[in-house]
Amino acid sequence: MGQALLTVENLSAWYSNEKMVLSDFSFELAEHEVAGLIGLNGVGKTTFLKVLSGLLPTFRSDGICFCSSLVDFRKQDFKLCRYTVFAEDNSFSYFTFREYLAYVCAAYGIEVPDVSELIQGFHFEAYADTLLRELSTGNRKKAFLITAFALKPRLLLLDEPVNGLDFQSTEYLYEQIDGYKEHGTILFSSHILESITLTSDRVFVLEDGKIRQTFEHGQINAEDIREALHDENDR
Amino acid sequence: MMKMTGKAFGKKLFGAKYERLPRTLLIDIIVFWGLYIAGFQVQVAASVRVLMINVFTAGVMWQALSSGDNAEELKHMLMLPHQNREFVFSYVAVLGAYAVLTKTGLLLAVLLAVSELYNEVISGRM
Repeated sequence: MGQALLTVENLSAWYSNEKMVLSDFSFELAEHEVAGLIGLNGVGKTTFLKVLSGLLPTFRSDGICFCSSLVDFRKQDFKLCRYTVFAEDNSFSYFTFREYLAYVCAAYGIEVPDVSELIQGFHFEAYADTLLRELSTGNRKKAFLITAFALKPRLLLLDEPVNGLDFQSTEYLYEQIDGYKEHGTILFSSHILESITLTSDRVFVLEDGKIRQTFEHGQINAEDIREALHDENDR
Repeated sequence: MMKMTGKAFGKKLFGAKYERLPRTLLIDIIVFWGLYIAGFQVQVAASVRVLMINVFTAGVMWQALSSGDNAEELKHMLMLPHQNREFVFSYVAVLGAYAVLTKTGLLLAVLLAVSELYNEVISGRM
């Protein structure tokens, strides 16, 4: 595990004043690691990813650092280092995948890379020139995942990346996640225990807007995580 | 990048192949000629015409801005690293073009057909 990439201290986030979704949430991500977020519905996994993506303005924190410097999630500098794939995304519906990839690469200031291997791996050949609005949920997810792995940002955020994918694409996704460590860091949320245990260097179990338990590499096994989740459910 | 952002919004508002544009313009022409040939005439003061066009255009832009559909599109775009000024300029420009060409155009067609506006335009008084 490398140096600290992202440090969050006592983050609180909310959608309405009546209910805090995340409260006193402290978190650290290292360079070149894969970290998994798991927890029951409503514990704040997607909310945290939204905060990191600059989509939720209603939050406060004692300190958020990216590469040891204070960071504003909405600033260009941080955005250039980060890309997010959400569980559901209906944007750019009138673009084809290739048009979307060209757009995103232009936004990140890079040349459009060769994505033929990624397209093949995700079995997306027949859909690369189809409008995103005409794709199924799973194929649309593939379009965004291919873009994510083509961009290779320093911090890649994936919200429920396995949802909607067929079996072969899921296997390929695990390979891509595993191989991503040489490029950057992945933080992903999932309900699928297998996706967490097969790919993560660290697993964070969320409960009531906080990290209840952390499993490090070597301690990650499905049984212990399942037990931690059951304990959460029993509270 | 500005061009691509404009294209992204343009395709959303005008259709993947911008097919809504010629369709709308055709409707505007049909409405204009129908009313012009019918000979309806209404006195509309110039200031009222200007007010109608501006308020209508602003209303359409506001409606497009506040639609849930639009919010979804913006959400993803705002995650990406844009240059803010370019982004805002592209967005407003395309939204304005959408309002004028697909909505206000119809109002203009009606005004041109039934008021003195058309004659003023033709005679060069406007």
